Amino acid sequence: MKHSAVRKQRVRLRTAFLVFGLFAGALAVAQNSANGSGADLASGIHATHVLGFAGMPDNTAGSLTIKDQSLRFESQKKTVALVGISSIEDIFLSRQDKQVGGTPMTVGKVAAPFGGGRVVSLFSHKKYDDITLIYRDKDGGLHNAIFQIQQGEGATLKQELIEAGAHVSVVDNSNLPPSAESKNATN
Amino acid sequence: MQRTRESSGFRVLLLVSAMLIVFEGMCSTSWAQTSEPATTNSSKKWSLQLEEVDAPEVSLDPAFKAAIYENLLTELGKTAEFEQVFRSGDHSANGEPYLLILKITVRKFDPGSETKRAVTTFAGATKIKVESQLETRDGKLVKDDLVEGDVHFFGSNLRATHNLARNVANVIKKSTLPEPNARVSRNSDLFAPGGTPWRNSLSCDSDRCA
Repeated sequence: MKHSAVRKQRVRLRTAFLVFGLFAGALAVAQNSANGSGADLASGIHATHVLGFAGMPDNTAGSLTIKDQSLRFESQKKTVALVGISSIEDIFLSRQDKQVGGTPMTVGKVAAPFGGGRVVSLFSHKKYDDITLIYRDKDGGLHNAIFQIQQGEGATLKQELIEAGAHVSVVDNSNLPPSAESKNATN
Repeated sequence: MQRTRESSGFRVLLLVSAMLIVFEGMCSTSWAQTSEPATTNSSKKWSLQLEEVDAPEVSLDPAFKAAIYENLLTELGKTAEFEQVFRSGDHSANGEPYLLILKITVRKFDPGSETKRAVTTFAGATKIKVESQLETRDGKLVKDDLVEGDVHFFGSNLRATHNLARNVANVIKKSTLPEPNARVSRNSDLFAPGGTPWRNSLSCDSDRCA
């Protein structure tokens, strides 16, 4: 009887450690990715290519730069894909709320007993800017590319692209809530 | 002994969770894989041009529109049903003798929430329903289907577009397209009695075979 009580206590303790570990991990990941400063297109901004950019595999991390009238994406494996800025027909910004940690974190959350994973999920999410580029290739074929960048950097990137000669149908970004930086600037 | 039991229990838990993830991926397309595949013995194949995704009735995030378009191009290319899959506006499609045009119209969209899904499991599903219309170059309707794509448990919201594209490609793959030789002139092959296009290829196949 006493033995089983000790065992139960040990299991509870382990569960608590597991949930705490997941929680701390999620917070660390979320905080690390939130520490990014504003976009700096001269040196490149960190982005994840979600899909559609010709010649680049989906879900590739890398950096976006504007160079010689081209938007250039260089992956961490040094693969480069680029598109002429004048061929960009439209740019859209949107904001997505995503869970951090990917598949390992998902498996960990599912495996956590007593619904501990759900509690972790409440805190392990982060907002990203999705920038959607619509451009045409040399044959006139329509391409759509989506890049995921840190919250607040989307507007800067869009502005830089417009200044470099990209076309847009809608200039207004009022669908996006203002970032902390823009709030400070207006105050 | 107790420690061995605990660790094996934990392993079983991990295994179950991994199986759940795999099951989620499979169940989204299982409905489309139930019918028998259509066989085409023709040496000539249709080519396909995918038009820009249209969403006149629903408010759809441009990222979803873009993802549906790009995922469709990938999935339609994988089916090997078409000689070539052209993008919208591609000039090289102009010289193609046997060309079908695929028009996708979004009819219903529920954005859902990845966090809601992760916290509650039963809420926050992302759902997209589209009308997929396959037309000949001169606007004759060959196929008209309503196809859905969704994410119920794991994955980002945009994953619904991937599931949708896979379902659209599967529906087209399972259907019997008219022979390219028939082209536009043999409308009787393309249309049901009364001039209406065949709707829902899965039931249409069995009717035509009967």
